[in-house]
Amino acid sequence: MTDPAQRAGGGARTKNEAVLVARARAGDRAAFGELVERYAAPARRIARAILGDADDADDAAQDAFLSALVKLGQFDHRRPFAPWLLRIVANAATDRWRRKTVRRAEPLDARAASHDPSPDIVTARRELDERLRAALAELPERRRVAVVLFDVEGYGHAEIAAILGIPEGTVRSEVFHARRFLRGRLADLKEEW
Amino acid sequence: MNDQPFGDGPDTALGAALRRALDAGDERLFVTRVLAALDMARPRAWDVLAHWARHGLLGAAAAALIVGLLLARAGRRESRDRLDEAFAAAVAAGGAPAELASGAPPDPSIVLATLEER
Repeated sequence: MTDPAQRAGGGARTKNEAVLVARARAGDRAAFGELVERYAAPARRIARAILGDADDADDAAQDAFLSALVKLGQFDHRRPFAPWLLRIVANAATDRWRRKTVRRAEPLDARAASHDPSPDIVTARRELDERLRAALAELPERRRVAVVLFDVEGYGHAEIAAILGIPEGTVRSEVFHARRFLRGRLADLKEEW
Repeated sequence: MNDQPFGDGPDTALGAALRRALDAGDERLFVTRVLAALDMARPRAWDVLAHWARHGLLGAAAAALIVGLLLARAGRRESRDRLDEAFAAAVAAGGAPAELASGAPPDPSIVLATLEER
């Protein structure tokens, strides 16, 4: 799932996943742990794309995993697990983001939104990462998630539409605008990509 | 890089850069953290009850077995006592039960054999 090529790989993986989900639903802690391990990376990336801050993102991803466990009874086992989970992650991160903005009434991650690279960033790659996170933070939330799901997680437009609960055409448009914006922001660092 | 505005394929360069920027690392640590939160969130009482339930079920099964054996033994003794009483009453009344139940003329050998067993 993490990698598009990996995602394409698997019937056996999906079958194994169904077994894991069934075991987790029956209260098997180890099976739940395996599911967390399998989806921790994409869940944390999606949460971070929404929240900006890595610690907040981990809190949201954790909430989402626990919430998913509670809701496993509602999961339709004929459908793929990852999009269902990532939808919960996106919702958990969005909820956290709303609570955070209500509490602080501040823009998303002021440090990340700054265009000046932090003085302790010494390598070009780290600068690129910072710039990319900052640029991402400037995008509307849905656009952020759409581009991450498409270009990082390798989901198709239809799958993203299902995860975000929006039309497929809107997903295409969101990905297009996000890409154009991010490329523009990073144009001067293009050789670092 | 996929520069097609509505390109169907992922932009691998942008995707790789975004992945690097968003990756938090320490996946193992995160899994441990989630499982610890699960253990905290899951009512400990359930674990205690489940533990009790295992012992409780064994205890209840043993108790049921003992009570069953005692009842069976008491029932056997009671029915044997009742049989003895009925038989004694029949004997006191002057004949064996088989003889009383039958409309045929009494067989003295059966009556005598029954009385001898007593």
